[in-house]
Amino acid sequence: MAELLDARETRRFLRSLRVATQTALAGYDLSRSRAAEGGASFLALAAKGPGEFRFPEAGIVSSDGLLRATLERDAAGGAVLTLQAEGATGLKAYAARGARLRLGLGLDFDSSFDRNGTLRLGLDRDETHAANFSRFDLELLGPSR
Amino acid sequence: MAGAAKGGRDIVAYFAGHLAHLVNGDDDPNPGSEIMIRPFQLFERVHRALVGNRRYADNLVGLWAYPPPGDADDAADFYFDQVLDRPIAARRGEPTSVDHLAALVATLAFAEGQSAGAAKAALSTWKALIGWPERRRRLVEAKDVFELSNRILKCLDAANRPYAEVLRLGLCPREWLVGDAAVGVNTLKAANAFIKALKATMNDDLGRRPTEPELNRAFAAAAVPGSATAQEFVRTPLGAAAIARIAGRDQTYVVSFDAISETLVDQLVEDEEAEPLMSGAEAASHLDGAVAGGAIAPAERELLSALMDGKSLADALSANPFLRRRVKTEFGGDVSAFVEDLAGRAARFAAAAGMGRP
Repeated sequence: MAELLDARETRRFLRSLRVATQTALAGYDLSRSRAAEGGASFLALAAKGPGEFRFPEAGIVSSDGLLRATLERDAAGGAVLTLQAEGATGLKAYAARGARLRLGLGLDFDSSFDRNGTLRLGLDRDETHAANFSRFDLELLGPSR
Repeated sequence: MAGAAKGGRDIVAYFAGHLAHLVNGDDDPNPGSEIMIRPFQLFERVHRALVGNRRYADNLVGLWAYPPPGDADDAADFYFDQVLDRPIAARRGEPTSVDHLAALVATLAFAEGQSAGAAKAALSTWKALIGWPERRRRLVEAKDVFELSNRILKCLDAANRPYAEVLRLGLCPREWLVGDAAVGVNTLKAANAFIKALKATMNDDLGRRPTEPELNRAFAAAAVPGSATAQEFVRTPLGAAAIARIAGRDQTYVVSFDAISETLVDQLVEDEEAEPLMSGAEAASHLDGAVAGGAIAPAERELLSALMDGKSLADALSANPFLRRRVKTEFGGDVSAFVEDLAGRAARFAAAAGMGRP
């Protein structure tokens, strides 16, 4: 039966299939990201390498693209992890919200974003060593108190 | 330098679908029948997606092609300017794909206002989407969103082409699309055809400079207009840069060529501009043929038919435990990978069965 179909109809089918499947996928991903609102994950694109993982100087952008994480280490071996909401959409989503950060096994921290969309988390030397900065997650808890 | 990730197949169509949903306010958890499209907020969502979505960063923006430190924000800005906001000029005074898009978006605006369609200058995809009053009717039927996506895709297939052709060469679009070294799309296409032929002539033994006979054989198979010989092309800035990619130890080119090639449509068929998209019922003979030919399973046929009829992917999958199990066991739960694989199998079968006849 396929041999009866002419090239024009086949092109129309191919285009329809392309549009329908990719638009459906985009809608599916959009609804999933809506459902996942209330959190974000951070994954360094080049987390694996021959040496120890080094936090990128430019920071890591969250999965929703609305937060940028940067890490400043201090001389004592500790560090300050800063999450900054970016743009009006980022501020709307994160400013003045309580949040729980999961940096590694058993390393959960409750904190909150200020009204400028900034969350700073101070970590001591032990916590810095135990944390997994190449991949970590954030869960929103509600309005900050 | 990181290589382009897999999953680039049809990223342009996915991006068009994403844009259609955003322009339709589908990211609002409680959408009504009316929406407000504020250009800056829409820009920010699109920009954030280009920066934060790895598939976009790798296969659309090509962040890997930008020289270190490879600022994702700058690369996304450049992509936006060169692709989404790139004017699409009319040919022979006839309406272009962007005119068709603007005409559809105009029907959604509630009030008379700034008219993108009346602009004298050539429109860009972006201006066709935002150049109307902010208060608009929301498309409720999935098939209408498909049509919006279809018209955006027709614009993107054309506007994305020069950018993608530079990436396909493993080069940075910012260095070859603007300024003194800017190269036209036809030269870029020809350069890619030459490089493809050269790659075959070299038996994919890359990481070395091609020999003179290899260059000559490749040029005989795919000449680059403006250069009389392979040696002449290799002496041009574009030719030298493309050959350096092949000869270098940096494997960007090797990774980029196939991944980016898959994002490009072979040809744009302008005269089929007005052809409506097929429904699942209309596509039955193609889908049945793919089942009979063993390209797709009967349950997969039902899924594709449901999607073409506008059913949501979540609903279509939830109705089919066989496919859900398959997604879990064979695709590690990656629904996108499954749908892309399925659509690819159906498309390859239909293309082989139906193309080439008048």
